[in-house]
Amino acid sequence: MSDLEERCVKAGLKMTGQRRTILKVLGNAEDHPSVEDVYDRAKQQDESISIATVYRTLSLLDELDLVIRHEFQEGYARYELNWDHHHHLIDLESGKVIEFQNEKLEKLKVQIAKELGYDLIDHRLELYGKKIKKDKK
Amino acid sequence: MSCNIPVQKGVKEAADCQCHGAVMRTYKSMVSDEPAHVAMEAAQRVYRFHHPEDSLADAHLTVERWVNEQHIH
Repeated sequence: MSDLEERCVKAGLKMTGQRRTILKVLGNAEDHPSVEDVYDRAKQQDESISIATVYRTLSLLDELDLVIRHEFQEGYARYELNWDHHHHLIDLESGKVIEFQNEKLEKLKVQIAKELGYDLIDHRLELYGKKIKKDKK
Repeated sequence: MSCNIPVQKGVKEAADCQCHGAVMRTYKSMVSDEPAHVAMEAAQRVYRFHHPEDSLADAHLTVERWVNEQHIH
């Protein structure tokens, strides 16, 4: 079971073959596909998938906060997976990579983009540091 | 700095360089989570911390070689 499927099961979503196909389509997407896009791509892998199934699955994933629903003023929604979002702090001396999440930082990034007149769509951030040495007493 | 090899121009050999472990640790951790070019950039920053005397181009060549060596072996 993929990490994503595991997250879906944990969130209470029963995994079926068709839902797995839809998750695979979302996982492979490098864009923000619409319901139609997801349907077209899923149909290539499983002909039995209907657009109603895609609608229902995306709605469920949205309710469970497993996808992010974007409204780009096109009259329809586009979706992307809500990956387990984190950043990296890299210890320059040892090369150790520490994953972290920070709610204040997430809000700040959205706020900065907004102040510059943008909706934040994507970003990447890596911190590089040197461990602070504690003074010996 | 933690590396004790003489300052030289161009690519450094992994075996001669004490920072090799740190650089590759960063690359391996990052590449499991991010695209290869992001992992490469992070590894180069770690390398440049240990070798501030290197030019960007030399640092890039050295880290690229180390990463490729790892794939070959």
